[in-house]
Parts: sequence; C-alpha cells; structure tokens
Amino acid sequence: MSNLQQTKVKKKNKKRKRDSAFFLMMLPGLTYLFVNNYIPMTGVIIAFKELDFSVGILKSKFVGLKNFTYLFQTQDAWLITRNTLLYNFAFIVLGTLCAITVAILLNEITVKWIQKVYQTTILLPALISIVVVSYLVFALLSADNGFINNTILNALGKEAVSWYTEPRYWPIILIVVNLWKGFGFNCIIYYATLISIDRSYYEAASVDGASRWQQLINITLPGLKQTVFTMTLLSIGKIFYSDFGLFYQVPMNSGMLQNATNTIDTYVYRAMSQLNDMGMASAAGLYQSLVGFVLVLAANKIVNRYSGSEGIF
Amino acid sequence: MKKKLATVLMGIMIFTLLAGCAGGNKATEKEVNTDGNAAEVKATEGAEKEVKAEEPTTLHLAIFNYANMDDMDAVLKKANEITLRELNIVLEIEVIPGSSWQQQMNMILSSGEELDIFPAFATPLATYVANGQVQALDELLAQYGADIPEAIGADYLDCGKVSGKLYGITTNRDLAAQNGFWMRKDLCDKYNIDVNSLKTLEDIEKALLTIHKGEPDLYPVVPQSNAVPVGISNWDDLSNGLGVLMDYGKELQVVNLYETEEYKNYTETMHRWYQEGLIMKDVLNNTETSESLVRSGKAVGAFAGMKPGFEEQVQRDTGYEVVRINLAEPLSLTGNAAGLTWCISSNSKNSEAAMKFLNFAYTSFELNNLLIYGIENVHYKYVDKDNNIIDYADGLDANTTPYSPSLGWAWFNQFKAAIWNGNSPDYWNELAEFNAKAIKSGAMGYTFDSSNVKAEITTCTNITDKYVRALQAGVVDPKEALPQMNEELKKAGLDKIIAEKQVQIDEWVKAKGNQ
Repeated sequence: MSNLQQTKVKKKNKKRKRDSAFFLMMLPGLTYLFVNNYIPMTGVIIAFKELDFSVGILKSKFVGLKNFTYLFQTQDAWLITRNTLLYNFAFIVLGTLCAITVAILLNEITVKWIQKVYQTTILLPALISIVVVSYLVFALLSADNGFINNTILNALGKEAVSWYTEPRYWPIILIVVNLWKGFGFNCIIYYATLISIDRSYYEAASVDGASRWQQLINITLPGLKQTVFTMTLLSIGKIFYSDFGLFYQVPMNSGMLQNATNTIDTYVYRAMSQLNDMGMASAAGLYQSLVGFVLVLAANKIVNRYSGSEGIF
Repeated sequence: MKKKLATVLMGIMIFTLLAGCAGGNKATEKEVNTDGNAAEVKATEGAEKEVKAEEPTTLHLAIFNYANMDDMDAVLKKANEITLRELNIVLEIEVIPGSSWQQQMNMILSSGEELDIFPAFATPLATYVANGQVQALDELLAQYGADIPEAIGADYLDCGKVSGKLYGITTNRDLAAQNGFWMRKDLCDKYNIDVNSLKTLEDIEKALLTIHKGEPDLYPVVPQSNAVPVGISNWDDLSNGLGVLMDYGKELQVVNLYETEEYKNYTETMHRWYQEGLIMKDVLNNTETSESLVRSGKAVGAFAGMKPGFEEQVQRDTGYEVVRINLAEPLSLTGNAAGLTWCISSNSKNSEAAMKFLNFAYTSFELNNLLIYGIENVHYKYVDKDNNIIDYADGLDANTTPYSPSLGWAWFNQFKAAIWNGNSPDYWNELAEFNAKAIKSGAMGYTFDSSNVKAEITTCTNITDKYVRALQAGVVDPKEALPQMNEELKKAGLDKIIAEKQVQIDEWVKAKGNQ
C-alpha cells in the first residue's frame, strides 16, 4: 500500500520535473493575462457605485442595481435588445455559411497564383477601417451624388431613394456590409482547416467511386465541424455586443434610421454622451458580458449533448 | 538531461526577459530624474537672479489643440520666465490633441496623474463636479483671485457655478449667442436683391428662391459640417434642450420646446425649404464646413452663430464678400459661458498657487499674448504697434506656423492680448460690448443637476437624437414627426425632467434672493 503511494508520489514528482519547462514557458503569458485581464476585473464594482473621484472608487457610494435600471426602464429596451440579437444571429449564420462556401471553392482552385489573388482580395475588406467603409457606403448611397441613386436607379428609370432616412433598407445594407467586411477573415480560418484534412480520405473516396458532391458531404463538412462549433461558440459569447463602428459610423449616425440601427452599444453611447456617468456605462458592459457568458455556457452544453463533447470545454 | 537543460535555459530566458523590462524602467526613471533636475537647475538660476529663496511651485496644466502647437516647449520656456518672476511658479503644460481630449482627460483625472489646472471643455463642467474631479473655488477666489471677477464680469463668472458653488472660471470670448444667416453678396447683387430688406426667414426664402432659379447648380443652404442648422435661438436650452425657457428666458417657466408654436413653425418652414430644393439634399451626412463649400463654389450661404467681426472672418475663409442677417437677439446662457471654464483638479496639491496663477493669467497682457500667439518675431510680428495689431511672422502662414494662434478663446483672457490683423482695432471692445449688451436669460448662472433624472435623460437623449437633426434640417415632415417625437418623449419621462428643472430653478431663485 505504502509502496504504491510512494510510486505515485514519485511519478508525480517525475511528471512535475518533466513538465517544469512548460510551466516556466507559460509563466510570462499567465502573468500577462493576470495583470492585464484579471486584475482589472475588480473594476466591475464601479457598476454598483455612484462614482466620485474625489473619494476614490472604493469609498464611493454603493447604489446597488440603480445603475442598471435605465437599461430596462426604457421603451427602447426591447428594440435595442432585439436589434442586437437579430443582427448578430444573422451575422453568425450568414457569415459562417458564406465563409465555408468560399473556403470550399478556394480549396477547389488548383492554379496556385489565382488562389492567392482570391485569398488576398477576400481578406482585403477586413483590413479597411470602419470609418473608411462608412464613406465607401456613403459614396454608393448619398442622396445627391451617390452611385446607386445617380447611376443604377437612374438607368432603370426608378425614383431616387433617400437612403439615410429610410430605416427599412438598413437591415439588408448592414448585413451586406458586415458580410463583405467580415467573411474574408473567417474564410481563411476555415480554409486552413480544409487543407489540413488528410488527402488520403479523398483518394480513397474517389477510388470507391464517390462523386465530388458525396466527398463534400461525407469528408469535407465533417472535417470542418469542430472549427465551425468553436467559431460559433466564440461568436455567441459576443452576441450581446454590437460592432459600434458598423452601427454608428456606417449609417452616419443618422437619427431617422435608429429603429433599424440602434443597438445596445450605440444606445449606451448616445445616452452617455449627455451624462458621462461611468457607473451606468460599466453597468451596461457588465450586463452584456454576463449575458454573453451565460449564453456561451448554454450553447456549449447543447453542443456537447447533441454531438458528443465537441464543444470547446 | 536534455529536459533539465531546457528548463535551465528557459529559466535564463525568462530572467533576461524580466531583467530587460526592469532595465527599461530604470532608464526612463533616470530620464525623468534628469528632467526634474534640469527644471530645478533652471528654477534655481531664475530664483538666484530674483533673489528669491523659496523653491518655486510647479503647476501642471493641460490644454487641447486642434492646430499645430509644436513650438509649445519654446513658448513654455518664455512663459516660465514670466511666472517665475511674478509668482515664483513654474508651469508644465501638456498638449493633448482635441480629438482625444475627452478620453485622455478622463484617464488623467481618474488615474490620479499630477494635474492642477485644466479647462472643462467638451465634457460638461457639471459632469466633472458630479464625478468629484474638480475643486470648489469660492474660498480660493475670495482669497487669491480678487482680480478675476472684474476681468470677466460677475454675471459670466456665475455661469461656472454648480449647485451654488463656483467650480469653473470662463474665459473671455463671445459669451453670448446670436443665430443668423449669411450668404454671398455678389449673388444678391446679381439678382437685384435688396440686402437691407432681408429681416425674416420668409424674406431670406424669397431671395434664395430667386437665386436658386438662376443658379440651379449651387446649394442655397448648407449645414456647418454635420451640425444641425438652426435659424432661431430665442430660448434657454437649460443645458440639454429637454425642457427649456422660451422667449429669451424672460419667464422662468420650463416648457417642452418641441411642443411650442415657434418650434413647429420653424421646422415647417425648414421642411418647405427642403422641398423647394433650398437645403442641400445630403444635409444630414455632410462633413464639409459651410465656408469650404462656399469657397469651392458649391453653395450660397448657411445658418451660423453670429458675433462681432463675423463677416470679416467668413470673408477671409471663403474669399467672398458676404451679407449677414440676424435672426435673433444676442442671448447669454449659462451653457455658453460654461462651455469652457478653467478648473482646478481635485488631485491638485497646490490649489492656492493654482488660484494665484489664474488670477495673474486673467489679467496679464504678457502671458496671454504669449500663450495665444507665441513668441514675437518668431511666430508673430507687429504690423501696427500703436493699435496692438499683429500678424504671422515673416515666412509663416496658417499652414506653416509651428504655433497656431487659434486658441485665443480657450486661453484665459484674450481681451488682454493683441488683435489679429484683419479685425477692427477695437475688436475686443466690440466683443465685450456684445457680451455686455446681450439679453441675459433669467436662468443665467443656474446649472442643471441631472442626478435625479438620469434614466429619463438617457432615454430622451436617444429620442431627440433620432428626430431633432432631421426635423431642423427640414428632411422630415414635422406634421408627422413632431407629434410622434413628443409622444415618445412623454412616455420616456420628459415631464419628469421638466418638473425637476422647474423645482431646481425655483430653489435657485430663492437661494439667489437670500444672498
């Protein structure tokens, strides 16, 4: 008995010794993570305080949940929550579909240099600043000089549209802009997964007489599954956040579009531009991250249940 | 054995990494030290000359810039000669780009970085007060700032008060607001428009329609960048426009601006203008200034805030002679004067010295001239010494100067400084008279405290953001949009804000009567 224990301890020691180099390697990263990501987390108490800098954060008055009420009290609460969730849902679904399709198509191209050209072109929008994007969109949609009003609608003999005052077009515009800007990046990740799938599967399949389509369904897609789950779970964690640049800059802060473009982030920004209340702003941030956290846990659980521990944890 | 070696090597690597960081820190510390020493050496030299035994006090000051101020170091050196001689104070000035001013100030003030004096600008003074980031100045002012009330006028000084205490001191600039319209004079002449007969919006409309017919390629009215064009301004917006005092704030009765007959008429007029093609189609998305649109031959005129010397300024900016039509009387509000006020940070350990410095800064010709215009014959030169008129130094212009003279309104007291070439020699007196003669709102000196109605304000701000720009630009029909906005505002608790403002104003009046 004691012998067994001794060998266990010895094994443990040996293991510890063997891994010590790795633990040491982790140290700088962990330190960074702790200092940069964990220590600032204590700042969440600001969300429950009426901040007064003259006495400091800790001594400021504790106000409980008062800072949160403005998020739910308003008639807009429903609207901004709906907008945020629906847009993000659309972005996740369409973005993933788009990225996977293009990644598969990329994979089918056999001429190397053409493949490289496509890859770069697809990634390019992801590198453009959102402010520049907003002006690209404006060049298309401007009432006076816009390409769509002046050239396309004109040629079709249709009446010009006042794009920046008509909210009904904006869900489509925003989704298109987001896809155009974002899918290139995801596409590269899926493409990287694709080329790591073992070629011999495909060879075996073609020997067995499987068509291209059958190969796609039975080899490519299952090979991508793990990456899709991971990427989707990561996006679900951010489903309560919205890309501020996309919803504020791209519609050029046009008030008339608010029903279609106001999300939690832009709502908080507009509200705080008058009040500059840090407590209320951090309350919004805390609320968003809490909901995101819960959603990630739930989504991960669902994935694990239905596809057998393919979730990320 | 290999594993062990790896561990040891890894250890060495991390150690050198950390040591590297530590070394870096040491280096910067040293630099700071030598800097400090340098300042001390300079200071002691000065002190010896002046035979002052006392160690000079260092005051940290922050200022924003929108144009080139690269030569701040040279200017600061000169400024320190003055302050050391007069007050035994050395300044350290941090110049922060205007575009990141709000965020950076927030960081500086909340991180406890050393800062004594700064202008409350862009972020409202009341917010700094609510956050406890600035000191009350009443006692300091009484003790060390005796010359300040006279320099800017007691009425305007009161605008820096929040809940009865003074927190910020406004600068001397155009402290009243008057809205009006300006347009190219050559076009008026071309179409035989009698400029002197233009008084109201309707007169302007007729004139613009004539011009528009003859010059269909010009936008008759353009906005100032993306700001909402405003042609009327006879109300006191009580800091945010949610509940206002109408009729130049003569009656202290808080009402909903968006339900008044005047606002309805105005927005209807603008909507008519928009439909008649008088207002630029992209008015809500414009990013160019109205001056540059006129200069490049795309526009006729614009609404603007007026002040003495306005025509000359626009003429300089556009290259066209312009006519100006005042659409309201000059009006003084708390908000105008509180738009930029100098404050002493609550982190400051030298508040007495800071107030002494402010007192000097609001009265010294030498210091104001230096901070606003830079160094004589380096950045500016006198063109008319008797009348105190200056211009860019030889070889410099607005684009090449390393010290832009564009912050006269932000430094303490430009009325004490020289006058820029092109303005009338009597410019500061004209401006002072404009301020003095402006109608004073009944609530001038009162600052709204939003703490009881924060949630209502967040919602109402989102609603006004949605409608107001489009309404005032004439893009939407007020017959539909106005009632809709008012209904939403009611639901969002605008009445509660109005009631709160009324209570506060009544109390403010009572407190003022007791004084």
